[in-house]
Amino acid sequence: MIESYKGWVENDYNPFILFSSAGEMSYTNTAAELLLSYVEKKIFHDLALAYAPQDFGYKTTFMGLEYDKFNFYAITVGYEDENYIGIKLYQNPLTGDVKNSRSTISKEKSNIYVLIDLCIALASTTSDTNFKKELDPTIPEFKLSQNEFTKALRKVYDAFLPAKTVTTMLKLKIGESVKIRDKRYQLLELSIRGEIKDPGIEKSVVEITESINIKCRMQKNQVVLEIPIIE
Amino acid sequence: MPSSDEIYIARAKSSQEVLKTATLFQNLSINALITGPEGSGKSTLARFMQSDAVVADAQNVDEVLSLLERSDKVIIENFDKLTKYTSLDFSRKKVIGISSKKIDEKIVDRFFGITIELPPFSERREDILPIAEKFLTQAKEVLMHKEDIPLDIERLDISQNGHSLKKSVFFKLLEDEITEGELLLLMESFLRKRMEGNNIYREFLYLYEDPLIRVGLERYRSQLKLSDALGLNRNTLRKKINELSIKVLEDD
Repeated sequence: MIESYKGWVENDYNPFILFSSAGEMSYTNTAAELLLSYVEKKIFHDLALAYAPQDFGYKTTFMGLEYDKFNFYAITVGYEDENYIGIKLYQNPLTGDVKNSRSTISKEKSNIYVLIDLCIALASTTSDTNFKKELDPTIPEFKLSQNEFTKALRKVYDAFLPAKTVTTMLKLKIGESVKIRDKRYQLLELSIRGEIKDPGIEKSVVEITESINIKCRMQKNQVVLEIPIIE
Repeated sequence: MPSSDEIYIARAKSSQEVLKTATLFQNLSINALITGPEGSGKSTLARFMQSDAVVADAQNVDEVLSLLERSDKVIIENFDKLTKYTSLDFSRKKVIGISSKKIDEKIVDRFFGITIELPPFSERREDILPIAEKFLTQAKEVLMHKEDIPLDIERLDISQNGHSLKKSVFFKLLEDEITEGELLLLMESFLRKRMEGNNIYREFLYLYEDPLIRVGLERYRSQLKLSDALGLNRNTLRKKINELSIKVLEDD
């Protein structure tokens, strides 16, 4: 009977991690493994210690947490002896698939490198920020609305203009795809990172990117755009 | 085909980035808004970005709507003067808007992928002399003047950017060949518009004295020598220099 509960933990949508008293991971469920491929385990160990109940038992704390593309709304930390402490993170639903019925698929094929260069040149006209690029050079041309994409991207760069250095990274997302109108498309990840970001742009950028099937994640010092490669 | 430098001069760092943006824009399907003060080169840049576009003035809304219906590539001047935004449809068009005034961000977001802001000439001083030289070539052609003249950046007027710069270059060329008769005609024209009051002689005496003393100081570099040359008492000359607020480089 006890064994049958393990399957529920293993297959839970929410990440669960069990740490030993030495801080080593003794057990992680599938959801936690995915999370730990993006985020350092130490962060969750520290979190567990900070929110552990004062005595043996379990304590649930509601709080907003954001790590990379993961969002959580609560955690439960528990321990029944001195040897192990566990943490479960309650995940907000990942909205990977584009459901915006008003979004459009552009007919024009675009070269994403030219669009990035255009927006960087534009940002450089009014700023001395140093723009660094780390771009996967193998991305083919694909369907993308140039007007809407540059509109969003220039806003993102504008938001980073107080920063000394802004780094743009472009890579293919291996093994991840997005469903748009019943068809799956491979994803590109374009991230723009700088020391300072003006948070005022968030709403307008998300509105624009959603209209062209791009998922936008706003983080403290980074904006990540997940772009479907529609050929 | 003329090079980009012959059309849009860019020596300052910000101008070079503008030129790079404009060059990339040429092969893209993006709508652009160009803003900047009067005379900052917005129309020149728009024509460089889309040389085969038709041009409409937003002060004539019907003309704008009609050109948008008929043409794929349109430049709309005075975009800030446009009133019927709701009737505009830029879909499947390539449009460049030009405006000297700031436009509401919601309207910019609705129509334009990018906004290029051109700074005034005072913020891109490296561009001034090359642009003045371009105007000088035009002026020599118009005025059929063969000789070259030196251009001093300090004496060129950039208060209204390209507009005043062009005027001051043309004026500089005219200065070089103006005759006494033409100068008197200019003075007459100037005075005719201002002939009012009861102290006119003293009021306009500076028109003769100011340039005379400035040139004299340039040449003699000493008030003593200049007072001798002018046949004026040294104290009288000093008084006039003070009255006219003339900067003296080297006092005697």
